[in-house]
Amino acid sequence: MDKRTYLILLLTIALLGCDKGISPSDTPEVKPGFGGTITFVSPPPPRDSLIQLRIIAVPYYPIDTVVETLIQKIVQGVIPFSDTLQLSSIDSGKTQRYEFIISPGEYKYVAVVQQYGLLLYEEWRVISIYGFSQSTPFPRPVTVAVDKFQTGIDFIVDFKNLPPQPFKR
Amino acid sequence: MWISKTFRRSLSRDNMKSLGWILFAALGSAVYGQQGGGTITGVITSSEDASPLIGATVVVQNTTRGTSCDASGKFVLRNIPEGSYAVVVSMVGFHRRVVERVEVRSNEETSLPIQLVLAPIQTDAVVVTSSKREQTLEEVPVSMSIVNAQLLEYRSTIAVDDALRYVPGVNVTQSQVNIRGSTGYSRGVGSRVLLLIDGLPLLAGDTGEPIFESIPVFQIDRIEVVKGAGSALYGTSALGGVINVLTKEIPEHPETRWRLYSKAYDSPPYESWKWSTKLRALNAQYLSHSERIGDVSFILAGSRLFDDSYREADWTRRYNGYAKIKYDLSPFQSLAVSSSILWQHRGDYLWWKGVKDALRPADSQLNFSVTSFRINSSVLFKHFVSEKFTYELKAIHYHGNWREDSLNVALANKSTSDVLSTEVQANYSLDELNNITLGAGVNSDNVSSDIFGAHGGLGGALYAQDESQLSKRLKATLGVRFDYQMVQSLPSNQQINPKLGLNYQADEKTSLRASVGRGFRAPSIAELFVSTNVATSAVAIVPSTDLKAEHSWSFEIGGTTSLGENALWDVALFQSDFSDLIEAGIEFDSTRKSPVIRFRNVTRARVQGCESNIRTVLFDQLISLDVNYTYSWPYDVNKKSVLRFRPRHVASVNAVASYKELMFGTDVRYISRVDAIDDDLVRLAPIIDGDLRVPVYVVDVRASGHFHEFGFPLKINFQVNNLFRYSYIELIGNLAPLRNYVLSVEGMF
Repeated sequence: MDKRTYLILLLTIALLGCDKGISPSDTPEVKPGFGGTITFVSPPPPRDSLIQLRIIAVPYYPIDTVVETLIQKIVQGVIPFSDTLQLSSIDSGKTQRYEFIISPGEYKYVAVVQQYGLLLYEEWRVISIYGFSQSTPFPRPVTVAVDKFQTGIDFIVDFKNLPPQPFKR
Repeated sequence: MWISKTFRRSLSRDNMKSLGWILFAALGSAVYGQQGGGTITGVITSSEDASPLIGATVVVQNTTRGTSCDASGKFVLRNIPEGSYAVVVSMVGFHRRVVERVEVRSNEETSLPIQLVLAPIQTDAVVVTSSKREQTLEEVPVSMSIVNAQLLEYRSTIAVDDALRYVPGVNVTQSQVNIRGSTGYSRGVGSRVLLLIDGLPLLAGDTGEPIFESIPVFQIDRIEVVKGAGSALYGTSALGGVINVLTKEIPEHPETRWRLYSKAYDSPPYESWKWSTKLRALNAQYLSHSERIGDVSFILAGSRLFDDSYREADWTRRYNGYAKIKYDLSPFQSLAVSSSILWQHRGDYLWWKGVKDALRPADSQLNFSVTSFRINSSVLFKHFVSEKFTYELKAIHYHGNWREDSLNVALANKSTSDVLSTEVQANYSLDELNNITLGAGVNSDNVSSDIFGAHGGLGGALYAQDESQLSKRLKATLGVRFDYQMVQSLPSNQQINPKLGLNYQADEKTSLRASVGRGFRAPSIAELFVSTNVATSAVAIVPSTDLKAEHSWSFEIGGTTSLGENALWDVALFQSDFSDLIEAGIEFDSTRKSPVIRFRNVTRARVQGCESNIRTVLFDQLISLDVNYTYSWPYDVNKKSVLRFRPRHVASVNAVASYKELMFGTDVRYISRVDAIDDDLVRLAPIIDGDLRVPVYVVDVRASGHFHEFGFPLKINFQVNNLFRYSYIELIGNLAPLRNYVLSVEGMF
């Protein structure tokens, strides 16, 4: 290689570096998903029974009654679940915001779930179901549109008054 | 770290006994008392302009005596017994010179003014890693690269893994080193590249990963990188190559060195990435002092590093300490004891919140932190019995203790590990044509962890190597090593790993090489016993106690030839076949009736490729240029797909222009877009935008000057890294450093 080739090689790579690489616009301006708040209205259970809290969005209802089956479907990508929620702000009266980015579609059962023991495949319970109340004792579906992030999917968690549990003991 | 870490266990009594035995044996064999001898003094200068060569190394061959030149280029070597010696003088950028028949008489001073001739393209650098003895680079039958102290200073390097990014054929994914496609990203456990410090292994006892922060960067003399399987001499983990970090010799004269290092991160190029209004900076200070008192020389060093980081919750607070004491028991025997300490507290940033918040971690990681304490202590006894026979006794103990804390997860993970490795090695020159190396080693591990459990391991090894000059032009190296490994409660494991290397000097300008070698990696304690119910993913990780060792066969042919007077071209074709590669995967556990993550020997892989390195000087040696390119085709034979986290093309151009005391340079790196990543991790973590990745184009520029000639023992270096603000990732969901500015001032007195 002569000197000119070296310089051309150097300049080519340097100019390629002028490309900006990854940028925030590499994904749609609005990512599909939903978000809102989770408000805790009663004191939390002991720390050793609060392993993790997550949100699940199940595209069908009724949901599986065996935890293992549900987790299998999470692993297979059938049921989306959120990142773990902040355990530092679950005291009574506290509210935390969350965002859940998922594929567009209809999710018929959206809930906050708690792992309360070390047995990952057994020790889960539902602590809040979106849309569930005494007057409307059914889950309310959440529809996620393409390129739309839906807000206002809020949960209220009352550890002293949990919703109906889908899982068999 | 994806696999959460763990525990605490103190150094076992057995390990302490072993260490004590080595010390006792070393001291006990030092039967010689001190003898009155002569002194060799001198000044080393450049033949070009007679300027003093600061830091040039002077060694009396076949003795323990060696030193480096002070700020005036002067050196003193005391207490040399009467006799005739060969004195070897070397310095990077100059031809090595051997001054034969230097006569030394008792109580007399022999003056030795030596001039070194500039070597625009150096081929006679001395290396020790390929054959466990000193050789020049052109004698070595495998591909090797050297990163020397001058290069580390020139680049103001503060981390060993950063220095390796510029080595041909090496790619670094976070702190995991991939030599010629051997390693992808193994989620923080195991290493297919063996890390050594002064020839002794330095891999964590629990996870088996290299902890580069443990290495005192300010004390490095050079880093040698051997490419291809090296288990025939080094045993486990040398599957894809060996990285040997060699620390500096202690100079004869008192020396105090300091360095102030400051880095400022530029603001992010996009509004949505801005998360802090404060200047993000990294500041580090280094200080070392060395001195010789009688036959004892020592070096003490310390450093402090505070990094705000350009990313949220990615801060680091680090303190390092280093001490080395060398006792010259006689001119032919030395005992060196060294210790390196690391304490570190850092945020545990795993991956971003999403590309729109690329510098913030996922919410759940905001409050994670890792605190670690690590100390490695080594002993090296060296004895030049005669011109033909030398032996070494060496031992290293590596203690690691870390704890991962979080406000978000109820359980904190912690782990403590201790590794003790001992080795005896002998080199014997049968005649001028044959050199034999024999060695034996014993190692033990102890791990106690809340996720890895409490386990101990024990191993032993024997190795032999013969280097024969078959003809005037052809040299052959044949070696074999037997390893025995046992982990408590598991069946033992034996390995035999051979190697063969050929080196053919075709003519004065061209040397050819060929090698074949076998490598293996025993599974780490973490891979065997990790067991979690709580992890950052929703699926438990379960023990895999039936794991076997990974194996590889590496083949290489290559050569080096001079292209005129000012250029050198090194080229290599290589192939590595890997079997039983360990990977974590999701499977359905019929006993638990649920999916689990388990490590399995699942992959057979083949990596083929070529590597080219051209070094040249242009414009009357004003500019030196290094052009590297490596192509590799990493193929998963079982899945018939490309291996994960391995780029196919890696290229770099390093240019340096020197004018008097000033140097200007640029480093340009290109890494092709990685073909495959860990889709399971992206989906299950989950990592938002985790599949985003681009090719890497990074341009760094720098200027440095030193002012010794003007009476100021100062070096000043300024550099701009990632000049064009190119945004890229090395690992899924991890944006690499943005443009940053570094000012480093270094002094010596």
